[in-house]
Amino acid sequence: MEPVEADVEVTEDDYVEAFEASGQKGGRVLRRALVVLAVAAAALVALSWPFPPGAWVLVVPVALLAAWLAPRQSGWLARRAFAARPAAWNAVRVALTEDEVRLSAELLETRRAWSRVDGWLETPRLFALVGASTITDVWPKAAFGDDEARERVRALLARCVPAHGTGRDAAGRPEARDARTRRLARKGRVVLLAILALTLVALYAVWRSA
Amino acid sequence: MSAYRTEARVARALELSRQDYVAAIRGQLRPLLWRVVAPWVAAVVALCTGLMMARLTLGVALGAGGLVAALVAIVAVWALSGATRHLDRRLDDAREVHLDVSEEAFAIRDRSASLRVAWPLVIAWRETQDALLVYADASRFHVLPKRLLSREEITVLRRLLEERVPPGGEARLAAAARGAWGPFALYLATLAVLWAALVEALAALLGA
Repeated sequence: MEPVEADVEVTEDDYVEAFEASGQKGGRVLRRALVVLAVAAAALVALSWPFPPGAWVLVVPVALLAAWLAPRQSGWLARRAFAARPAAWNAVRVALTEDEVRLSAELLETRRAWSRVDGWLETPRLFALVGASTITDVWPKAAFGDDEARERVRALLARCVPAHGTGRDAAGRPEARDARTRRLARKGRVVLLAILALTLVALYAVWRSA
Repeated sequence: MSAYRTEARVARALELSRQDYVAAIRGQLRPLLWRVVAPWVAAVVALCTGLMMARLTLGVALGAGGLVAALVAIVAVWALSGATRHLDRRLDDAREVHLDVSEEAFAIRDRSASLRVAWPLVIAWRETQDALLVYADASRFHVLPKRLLSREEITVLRRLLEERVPPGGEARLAAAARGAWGPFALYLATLAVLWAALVEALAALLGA
């Protein structure tokens, strides 16, 4: 198969979009968990009123702080990562084959077998690679040309790299969990967190009444 | 530039062990942990313990604070060991490294990856007791163990790194570390508060 090649230019906004997409799953769960905790904390205050001070009074400000910071974290990490990278990495020629991904520019040349890439993800505008739990490569789809070329990239990535956030199957191929399984897993986590929060509230209620 | 300097080059294969990587990773993570993460988490745990004293007896509050600190430490150690878990998945490919460092560029390759960058793209370098670490990315470094290099090679490498790597590397690494480790410290602090509330409630429930 002919390598898929493209001249790619990446901006800070591209990085932010890719980081937000990679953190979306965890971010959603975290946001819901924080809402549950905030509700639990409010219920706790109501049940315990008038309450003696204790470590629990920190739960409310910490939950509020985390709720404010959580949606901003991806953008913060993306801007830091983008700023830390020499500008030469932002305009490179990308060549994708069945075996590896190659990047080249005037001052750099790299090659990675697909086994060194942990995952890939896609947004409406971008393809991105994930390595060691962080975004390593961001490629605007526009760089690859028409829809047919983009479909070749998508098919190549799907063949060679696990989709980000999913496991591999026994053959080492991407094991894409269907949307229903993902929804159930998310709901399961939220329910578990809700149980934890309610347990805390119940413990306080018992304690107050004792 | 003298002829000696123009010809300065280290090109050779290195057989790295897991210990070479682990020692380098730990050596780089520990200072970050103590500088960026530990002060915040310790302050929050101390605050929690102080607040618990208002409700619990002194001994129980101190014990509860210690328990919270231990739980947070376990989570922190588990999270930090992610780097070595990642290394273990890649170790077979990364054991044998071919290094080619010249006046023009830093190049390194192993079984499944290669990198060749001109010196302006090397972000920073550090020297530890055991190795030279070259950062072509703010969050990843290449390990060049001194035990595998001759004294002359170490001297040449050190001189190339001193002369060719753009200044300001340490500041860039520090900024990147704050960016990455700040949220981690916040998560640990949040965890400490939640656990402290739980431990406090349990202790009070048990009549402590």
